[in-house]
Amino acid sequence: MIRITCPYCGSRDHAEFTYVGDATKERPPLGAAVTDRRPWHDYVYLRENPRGPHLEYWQHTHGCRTAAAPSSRCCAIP
Amino acid sequence: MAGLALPIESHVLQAFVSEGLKPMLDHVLTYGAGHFYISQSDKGGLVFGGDLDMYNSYAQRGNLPSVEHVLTAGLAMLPQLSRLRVVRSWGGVVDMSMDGSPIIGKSPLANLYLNCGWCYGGFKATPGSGWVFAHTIANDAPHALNQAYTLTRFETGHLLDEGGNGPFPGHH
Repeated sequence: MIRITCPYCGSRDHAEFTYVGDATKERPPLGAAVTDRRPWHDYVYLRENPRGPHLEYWQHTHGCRTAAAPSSRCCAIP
Repeated sequence: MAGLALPIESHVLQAFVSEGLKPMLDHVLTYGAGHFYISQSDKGGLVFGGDLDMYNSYAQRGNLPSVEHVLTAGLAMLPQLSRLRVVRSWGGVVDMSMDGSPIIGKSPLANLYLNCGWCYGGFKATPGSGWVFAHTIANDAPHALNQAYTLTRFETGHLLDEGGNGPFPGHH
């Protein structure tokens, strides 16, 4: 019933998508040795759940299957 | 309220009530693999529900695809539901935790205790959870039964993920 605009497939029903979650979380950089668990714990587990506009990732699993890239924030809807 | 971010996502869950019937179901029937439950109220209506709508929302209503999904599970179990009218439906917020298990214990703040993350369950666990929660508050320490249900388990990796679904609250 909710329409989501996929950048490749256009406006599709939300049932074609899989909810991935909060798009405002910043993934900590890889590469360096992880000396502090807190940024990873925050990224993986903590959520704000605002009452109001919520920027989200939805993956078009029953369509083009575009993976939500952390940097491009594709398919994020307000 | 207290400035705490919790390992919880607030999702919408729908519930339904059918028109009133003569007694036909004297148990609570659940379909574990499909997340469907049904029972009959004293007023005669069948009260049932199932899966989440699978996204963050505080709305007091859900979407039609979920309605179809829940009713499909219901008909698979009880084909006699097919001609019943649904007279009432609504949505409510459920606090989905990151491992599907509740958080019952102390918080980082003194004199603030948490009893949350019950996801879509918990109503039938209320007496037991209330009992250990009261113990936790009275002693400022968890009872043996809720010792594992800490907020810090997500930091240390001692998750209680019965379904093995990982940090995807909607899947628990």
